[in-house]
Amino acid sequence: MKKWFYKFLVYTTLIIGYLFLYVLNVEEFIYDQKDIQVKSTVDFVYQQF
Amino acid sequence: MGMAIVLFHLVKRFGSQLISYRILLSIVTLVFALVYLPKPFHLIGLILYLYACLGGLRKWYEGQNIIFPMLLLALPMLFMKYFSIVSFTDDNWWKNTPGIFQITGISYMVFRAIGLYIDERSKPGKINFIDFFNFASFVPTLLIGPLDRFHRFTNDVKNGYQNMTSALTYQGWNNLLMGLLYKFILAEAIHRLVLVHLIDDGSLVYHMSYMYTYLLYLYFDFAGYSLLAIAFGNFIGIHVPINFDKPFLAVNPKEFWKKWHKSLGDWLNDYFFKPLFMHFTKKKWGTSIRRQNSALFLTFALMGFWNGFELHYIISGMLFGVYSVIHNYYFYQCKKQKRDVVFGKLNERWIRIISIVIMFHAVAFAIYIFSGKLF
Repeated sequence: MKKWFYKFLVYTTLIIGYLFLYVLNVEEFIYDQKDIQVKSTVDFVYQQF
Repeated sequence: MGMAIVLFHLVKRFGSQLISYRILLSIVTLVFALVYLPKPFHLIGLILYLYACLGGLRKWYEGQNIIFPMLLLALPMLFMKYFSIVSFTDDNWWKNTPGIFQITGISYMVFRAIGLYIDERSKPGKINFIDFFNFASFVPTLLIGPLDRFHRFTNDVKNGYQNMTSALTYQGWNNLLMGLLYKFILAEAIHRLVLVHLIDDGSLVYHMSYMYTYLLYLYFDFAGYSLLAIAFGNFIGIHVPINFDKPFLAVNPKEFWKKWHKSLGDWLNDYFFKPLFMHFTKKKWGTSIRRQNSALFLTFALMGFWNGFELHYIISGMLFGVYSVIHNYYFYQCKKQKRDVVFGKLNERWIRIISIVIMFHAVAFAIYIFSGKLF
């Protein structure tokens, strides 16, 4: 893969991902609000004391 | 963390004659611990305990057996693990004891101290406290690694400001981008859009979906975290070792642990598997393959116990041990019979592809057990 294309891909995914996940909160469009409220949590099991 | 990086670069430019790199690193670590970490004085107490143990062991302990020093150094971590499964309901004086050992980064600090003791025990001279403090409590890698080696880390610290080159900063920038992408975009997307919305109807499809999704989530989250730690190290001139290197392309368990949480795999290999295997060999216990397999299984079982005393961690560790034993036995039989006992004369490329597929699914299953979803 060309270096410039790889970098383009990384930056684009970062920007689009940020917009979708943190600005637009995309899961609110995909799932009902009720589903989001009852979602379980996944432990960060590898984070040791 | 960003402020610390800026401070290092400002001091490099304007005040490198006034304050040495290692002293600056100690001050920044201390300030960070006091301001941001819970129980900073417990952390300092732990570092003093580990340093005192190291000094005492180097001075007075002349035995060749490393189990006693390892246990002595690991004692606070063992207490922490023990108290994490024991509940204190009585209103007794010891009810607050568990909290004493819940120190941020305790496992990795203990691992570093054990590695340091084994590596440096035959070398003369004292270990400098500032060097030990910097090594044991290096903030970017304090919580989840990667696990560094004392000699390598101290060399970087000695080179100090000279290591803070534009090439390493650029490398750090690339690691930072990949870390952000892995942890805050890919892992976050898998978690928020898929994992938490899987409906647990008890079906096989649900469990399979959870297994593969959780594996990907854990990989991107953990590898992302590691990349961020490496990036912050790079920004201040420390070459933090890599922790993940395309683990899903591993063809066998041995290769997998060179690619997944590599620094822990290397640590377990150097400071647990090898001494254990040598101990078995010295005792002339069983055949060579039996000694290897026993040491392998015990090493992975230990890893399971280290993750926690809960059943799912222990079984997951043991399962990785079983994978390694099977592969080791297969390798032994191939060598003995001078042919591939499983794949025969199959094309090497196909062997590689099939091995990758088998390994990926075996890992997915072991990590699924590790997740605690099954029991």
